[in-house]
This record gives sequence, C-alpha cells and structure tokens, in this order.
Amino acid sequence: MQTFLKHTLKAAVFMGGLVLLLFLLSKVFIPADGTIDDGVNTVNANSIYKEREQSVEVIFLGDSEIYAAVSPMQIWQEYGIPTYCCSTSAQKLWYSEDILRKAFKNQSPKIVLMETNALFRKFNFDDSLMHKVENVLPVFQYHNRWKVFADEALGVREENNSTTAYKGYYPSYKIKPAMYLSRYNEKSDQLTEIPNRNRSYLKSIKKYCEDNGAQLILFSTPSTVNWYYAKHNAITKLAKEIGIEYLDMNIPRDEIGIDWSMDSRDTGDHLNHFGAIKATAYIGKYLSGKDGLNDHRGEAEYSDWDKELEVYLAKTEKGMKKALKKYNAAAGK
Amino acid sequence: MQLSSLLLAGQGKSLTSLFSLLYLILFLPFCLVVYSILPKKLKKYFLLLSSFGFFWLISGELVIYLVLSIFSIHYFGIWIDRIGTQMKSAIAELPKEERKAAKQGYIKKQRLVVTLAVVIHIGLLLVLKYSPFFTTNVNMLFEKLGISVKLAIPTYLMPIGISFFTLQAVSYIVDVYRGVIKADDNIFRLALFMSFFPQIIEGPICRYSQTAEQLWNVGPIKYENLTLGIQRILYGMMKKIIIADRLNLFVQNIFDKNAEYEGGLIAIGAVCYTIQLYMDFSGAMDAVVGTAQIFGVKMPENFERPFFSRTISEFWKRWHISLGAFFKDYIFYPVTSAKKMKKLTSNARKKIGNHYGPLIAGSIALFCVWFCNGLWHGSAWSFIFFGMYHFVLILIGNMLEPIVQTVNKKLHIDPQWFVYRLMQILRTTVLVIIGELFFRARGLKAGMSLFGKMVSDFSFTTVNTDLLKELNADIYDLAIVGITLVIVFVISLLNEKGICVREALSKKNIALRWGLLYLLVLYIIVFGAYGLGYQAVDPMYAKF
Repeated sequence: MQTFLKHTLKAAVFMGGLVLLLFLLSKVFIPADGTIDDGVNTVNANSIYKEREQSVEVIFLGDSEIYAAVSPMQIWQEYGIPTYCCSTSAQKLWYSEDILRKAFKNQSPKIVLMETNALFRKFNFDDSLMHKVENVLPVFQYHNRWKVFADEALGVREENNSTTAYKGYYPSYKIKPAMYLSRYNEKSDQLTEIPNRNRSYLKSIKKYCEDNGAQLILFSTPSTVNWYYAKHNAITKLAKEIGIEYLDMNIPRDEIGIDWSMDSRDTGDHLNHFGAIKATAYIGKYLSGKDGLNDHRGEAEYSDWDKELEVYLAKTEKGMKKALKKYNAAAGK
Repeated sequence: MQLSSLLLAGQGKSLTSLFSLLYLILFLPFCLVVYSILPKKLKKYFLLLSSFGFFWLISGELVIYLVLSIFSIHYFGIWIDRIGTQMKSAIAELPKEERKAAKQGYIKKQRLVVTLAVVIHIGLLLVLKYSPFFTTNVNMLFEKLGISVKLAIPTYLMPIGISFFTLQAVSYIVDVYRGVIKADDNIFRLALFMSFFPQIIEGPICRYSQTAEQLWNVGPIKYENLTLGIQRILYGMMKKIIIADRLNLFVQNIFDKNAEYEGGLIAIGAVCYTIQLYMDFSGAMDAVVGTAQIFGVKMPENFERPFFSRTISEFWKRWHISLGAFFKDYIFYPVTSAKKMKKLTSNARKKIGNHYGPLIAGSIALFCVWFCNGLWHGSAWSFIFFGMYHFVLILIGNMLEPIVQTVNKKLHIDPQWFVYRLMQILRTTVLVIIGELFFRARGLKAGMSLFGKMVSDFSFTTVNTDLLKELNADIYDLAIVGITLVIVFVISLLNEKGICVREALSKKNIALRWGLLYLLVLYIIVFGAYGLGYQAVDPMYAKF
C-alpha cells in the first residue's frame, strides 16, 4: 500500500509539473490578442484584426471553398461594400464560431455569409476535446508558432502585410478542368446527413449573429466535387427549419457562368481566380440588394481600401496574364 | 463533448488511432483504473470486455465477424483435438500392422477439418476484400473479348483489422492441427487472444503460444511496466505525429498529382513515403507493445530496425516480422515440404548441385509467399506487382549468392568490411524505396508512370523553397523531420548494439529521467503535426 501511495504521489507530482510547464509554454506561444499571429496557420483569415475598427460590413465564414471563390476587393471595386473572408482550410464549425467571435471584437458586420460545405464536415471526440484543451492550454493551438520564433531568431521574419490587399481571399491562377461532372449534374431527391453537432453549432452561430445585430445567411459556392443535389436538399430543409436564408450558387448556373474547363484550380473542387471573378460578381450583386449595406467608395475613412485595390488589381492582372500565357502555350494556341 | 454519442456502436472512429486523445486520455486511462481496482481473477475478464468494447466502438455491428471467427476456431480446434484423442484410443486397441492405416484415416479426417476451417476464414476474407477487384477484372476481360455481360461489383462493409485477426485465427487452427498447441477449451481465453484491443487494428499477428497464456494470467500493474510502457507509447507518438503526419501532405501532393513533377522530386516523394510508412506503422507498433507492457504482456516485436538490412530477404525478416513469419510457417514450409517438392529438390540437387537444386522448389514456394503477401496488402494489381517485385529481387539475390561470394573472394573483399556493409544497406534501401513507390502509387499504371519519370527525368531544377512550400513542406518542416529522424536513428543504432535506451535510462537519477521525459512530451506537443492546417492521419496499415 505504501509503495502504491508513493508511486501515485510521484505520478501526481510529475503530471503537476507537466501541466505547469504547459502553462508556462502557453504564455510563450500565445500571440498578442488581436494580432494576425492569432491563428498561426490561418494568417489570411486572421488578418481581419488589421482592419480598422467597425469598418467591415460583411464577413464570409467557412472553408477553402470561400477563400477560393470570393474576392472582397472585387466586391469593393464593384459595389463599395467592405467585406472580409474569415475562411480557413478544412474549417470545422467550432472554429467558425471562434473566428466569428474574435472578428466581432473589433467589427460589427451586418451580414455573415456562411458557406455550407463545413456543415457536412464531421468532427469527432478528439476535435472537441482538443478544442477544450486549447482554451485552457493555448500552446496546443499555437504550437506551430515555433516557425515564427525560428524566423525571428534567424532574422528572416517578414511582416505579412500583403494579405490585407486580398482581405482573406486566396487567388489561384492554376487551370485544371473539372473531371467528374456527372454527380454535379445529376438531380436527386436524397438528403445528405448533416451531423447533429454541426446543427447545434449552426444554431449557436445564428443566435450569436442575431444577438450582435447581424443576419446569418447560408450560401454554397460552385464546386463539382463538394456540392451535389443531396447536399443542396439537406441545406434547403435545414435552412427552412431554423429560418435562415440560403443562397446556392450551384443552381443559377447560366447566370453565374462558371466554365468548368477553365475556372477551376483543382479539377472542379475549388475555383481559380477566373472562376472567382464570376462567383464574386454574382455574390456582389446579391449583397448590393441587401438593406443596410452601403457604398463606401471615395469616403476618406476607406481610402486605404482604394489604395489596396490598386495593389490587388496589379497583382491579379499579372497573375492572370501569366496563367493565360501558360495555358495557351500548353494548348498550342 | 457529447460522450453519450460514444455509446453508439461504430461512433468511436478516432479510437482507430492509438495516438488519438480518445484512446490516450479516455479509453486507456479508464481501462487502467478499472483494471487496477478489480481483483486479480476478474482482470482478464475485464480485458476481454474492454477489448470487445473497443472493437464495438470502432466497428459497430461488424464485431459479429470477430465473434463468429472466435466461435468457429474454438469449435474447429476442439473437433481436431477430439479426432486426435479418438485416434489415440482407437489405435491403442488395434494390432500393430493395422495401426498405420487407421492412423492415416484419422489424420485425413483432421486434415479435412483444418482445411474446412481455413477455407471458411480465408474464403470470407477473399469475398469481402477481393470480390470487387475480381469482378472489375472479369468485366474488363469480358469487355476485351466483346462479351456484353457486366457483373455487378459487390461492395461489403469490412471490420477494421479483419486481415490481421483472420491470419491469427488461421495460425491457431493450423497450430492445433500440427500439434504445436492444444486446442483451447476455454473460449474466453481464446477470445482474449483474438481480440486484445491494442493489437486488433494493425497487429502484430500473434501466435497463440506467444500471447494467449500471458493475457489470461495478467496480474496487477507494476510501476516499472507502467513507466516503461508509457515511454514506449510516447516514442511511437513522436515517430507518428512529428515525422509521419508531417510528411503526409507532402507525400499526398507528390503521389496524388500523378507525374506532374520532375523525377528528382518524385524520388524525394518516394523516400518521404517510405519514411512515413515506417514511422507510422512502427510508431503504432510501439503503442501496441507499450500498452501491452503496461498490462505486463510481452508482445512480439513487429520491426527490428529494417533499414539496417543488407539484403531484401533480411529486410523482410525485420519489417512486419509477424506477417513474414506467418507466410514462412504457413505457406513457405508447407509448400517446400510437400512430397512432390521434396522429390523435385532431390532430383534437382543431383543435376544442378546443392545450391541451385533446392532453389527450384524454394522459388516456387517463394512465389506463393510473395503473391499472397502482395495480395494481402490490397486488392489491386499494384499490390500484386509489389509482391512480385520482391519475389524477383529475392530470387536474384539467391541465384547470385555463390557468384558474389566467389567474386568477393577473388577481389579479397571482406563481406564484413564496414564500407561493403554500408553499400549493401544503401542498395537494399534504394530497392525498398522503389518498391514503396509502386506500393503508394494510385494503381500500377500510375506507379509505372512515376517510376518512368523518376528514371528518365531525374533532376532537381524546379525544386526550391517556394515549390516545397506549395507542396506543404517548408524548410522548417523538413528540418524538424530531419532532427527527429536523427533521434530515431541514434536510438535504433543503440538498440542494434543491444542497448535498450529505456532500461538504461531507468537506472539514472530522477532529475535526468524526468527531465528527458518532460522534454519528449513537450517536443511532441510543440513540433507535432496536429491542429489547424493538419489532417489527422488514420493508421496506414489499418486499411490493409
């Protein structure tokens, strides 16, 4: 018995020491509140912290489908509505909620547009537990900042300002035609299952938006891989059930005009910049019809947006030119 | 956290990784606490219960396959044993001259029973795992022959680990038939041998004589076993989370975007995949052996530093040892010791000598082994090619052995010379990497295309930091993988020299021990590939 107690005590002291070390390490790894380092792997999305307070009117939430399809700078150019993509790759809904809450610290968006692909993404016990552990011991969330420290130690760290010109958008100039269109085109009455946990997260996000004076809208960006009719049916049903507006950009195909032989960067999953221009034009028009969103072009407070637009246009035009040259060369044109 | 959802069968998918939080923070600690509280005589039953609970959580109703397998080998074993007992009492009463014939009759009966048991198990595996492959190929053949018949391609739900526990079941029944072990009349002991939770997903494929008694006689957890077991799990975790998982996206980019990159990059991809597979699988085995050690059970090792091998044959004696041993004992030996084969060998010895004579029968057996080995890994031509590739390499090695010995002698090269051994190790490693390229490629055609590109366009002109970053492997990723590989290499080198690092450290003072342990845990937490931007990677061998 004495040995057992001795060993138990030893194990408890060891574990206590470990937790203490993790607390100390967390202090080192946690970035200053409201900096782009908050989310070391998601710098683009977290650059919203760099935006002037109360300046963004629309936030896009979701996974890579968004940052590939929606360009806030184009919406600014065409309608003068300041928007921002808070999207991260393979985003799960707990992170959508997290990033939304963080965004609301400095901003009061009137509309939150949430992409639906993440609603089908299952997350398991490990994800939930890890998320809870991260809240207590942030080193688990920010552990990858060792790369930032390494950059600093080597004196090669660059302040990442360029992301703000894209406002969370991630342009790709690769052209890889869609390969499998049969499921995308095949109409169906079936319903894809939306995990219960995601339903509760959606309700919670909706309530948070409402409590903060924002309207939550669901929308699906064009994707031949991640979208099919059974998903559309499931979201339509859910949106009706909980009273959310749903905009599916895979339905008005002629109006948007995505050319799947040109407009995808990865065989039909994500849009490239050429596709994003078309998708953004559609979503910009949709937003321009919404009440409460204003055209801020030419306003002194938004002069930095106009400047960034020039940077954005220069960069994207260069990218498109290069991509088309490569594409035409490959096609023998 | 919705713990209630875990009560549903098949909902504990993340348990399939022994490095998941669900396993390490909840399942294993829960088992250890309850196990410690229970009196000694109930501990084994609790292990059995938790093993079935574990399997139920990851496979749901498919647990029925395991249950049926256990019941069948239990009764088949008893049946074989009973025939043996009947034989003994029957021939004791017979006059000497009639005994041989009577004995043959009983042995034939036993052979029939063991064949039936093996056919049921392997047949089920063939149907579940290989019928889609078979029907797809038949359809392709029909199409080529212009026959307008298209067979429906069946799809079945398979429980995780079926390829592992089926072989374990077969080894049990054959060992009973061979008289290596007695049939177990205790179905619970047999069930625990078949289902012990750490090994059910990826093995090792244990023999009844190796683990059944140990598992049935488990006692209280010893502090030393607990600490050594946890250290082994952490070591495996370091291999898996820091090396294998960090390389995952890079490997995916190289292999799944077929032949877009130049040969040098494909070669790097093949090297990285080989490292990933080894670290993933051997890391999982560390977790299996470590968990078993906590309960005081010594599991057979599945890896013995395979990349120190000097030949391909040696490599396969050090890599996935339990699978190789299974094929050796249950395919290679039965084939070579068949009457016709023995006759073939003795005739060949007379004609082509003592080295090449036995090679003919040996090669036929070797072909069977490697055909099965390839097929066991998956139902695709690329896996069959993978098996045949190793068969040819081993065959060439066997055939060239006397020539190489003669040349070495003439050139006064000592085979134990360090440089010579190093060259052999490098050659073996390169051959293994080429094999793994085909193993990982998405089909045989893709493998050929990648290999062709690797050979015909072997350059590194496009490799730069930007491209690596695009392929999800920045310079820091590669650096941390490199550093961790050096750690694993040093530990492996010490193990190769017979030094067990964990035991050596256990004799050091507490400050050093705890310091190193803290360092290891923090190293995994900080440099592990997990969280945002990373995908959790399922155990790679669980799908085979």
